[in-house]
Amino acid sequence: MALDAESRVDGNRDDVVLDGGDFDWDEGLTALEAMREFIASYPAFDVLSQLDIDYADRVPATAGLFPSGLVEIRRRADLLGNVTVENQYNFALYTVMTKAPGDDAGALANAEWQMGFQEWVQQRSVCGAAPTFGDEPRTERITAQNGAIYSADEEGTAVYAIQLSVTFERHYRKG
Amino acid sequence: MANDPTFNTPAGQTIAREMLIAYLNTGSSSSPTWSAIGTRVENSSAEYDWGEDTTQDVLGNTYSTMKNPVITQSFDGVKLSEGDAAYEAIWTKGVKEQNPQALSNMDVLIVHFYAGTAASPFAERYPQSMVRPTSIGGEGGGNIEMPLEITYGGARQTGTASKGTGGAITFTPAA
Repeated sequence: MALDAESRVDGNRDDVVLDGGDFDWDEGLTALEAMREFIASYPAFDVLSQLDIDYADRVPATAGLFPSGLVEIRRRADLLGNVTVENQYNFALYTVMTKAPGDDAGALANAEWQMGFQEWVQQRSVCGAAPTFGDEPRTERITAQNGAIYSADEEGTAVYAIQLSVTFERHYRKG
Repeated sequence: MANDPTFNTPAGQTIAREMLIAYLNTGSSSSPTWSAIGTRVENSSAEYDWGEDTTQDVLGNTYSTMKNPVITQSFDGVKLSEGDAAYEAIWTKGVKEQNPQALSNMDVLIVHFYAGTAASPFAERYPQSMVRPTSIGGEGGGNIEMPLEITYGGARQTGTASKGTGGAITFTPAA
């Protein structure tokens, strides 16, 4: 598969405009739905036919998003009793792709997809064009990292895994 | 001699920091509007300088003297935010106008919500306090911070405070 210019990994990002526009998503979506919609907006996502939640079939060109819950990183209060909580959502994205044993071209294309996706998530997050989940959107961060092959079989199917994290703040105002 | 006032918090429990709040008068002297100082500040204490002096005579007796305290309080980590009336007033007088006369005659009220009755806690008013922003800036990608230092001053008035609907504070001087 070929990556288009927007999703291909480039060494120089000086030309990326930070004000990349908001990620246009329905405010009524849950965090999980927003994340799924965001992932599906990756320009090279069209090589996949579906993105399931908590399920990954071993059928090529499918993907599964596995949420692993909320982690409270830090809780702090100010002098007035207002509380700020720093939270993190964690997800794992499994993609199933075609990769026959010894198929170097297929392996390269799959690996490029994984790396391109991680770079794209980083760019969207830096540009402020990713969904936001908390009360301080400017400080939020989505990361996609550690993308690697998870398993491969003799029938020509490989599963890749990427770890996604969303860090955001919630503010609770003292009444 | 009985203490007056006594603490109004549950017996045996420690007292929450949010029950000691300093307010800046962002209205007028005759019609004050008390705006809380300390949003997003996580640690701040009023320091008492008693001007103490200790001497020892030739017989080995020790004598100490004290003066009325000079009370100063630093607020580090003040992050500017829209709608915070106290920070906006200090920014206006300090950063925009650089008005030392105004900054050294700020009207500040300290309410001890834990002392006295819950409805009318003890309060002390310092009508000619010095409030000075000590710097403004911060790290790239972070927030604009404007740490403050207050020296409480003027003819101290004690009395009680009450909190009305919407959280508005009213100070009533002791008779």
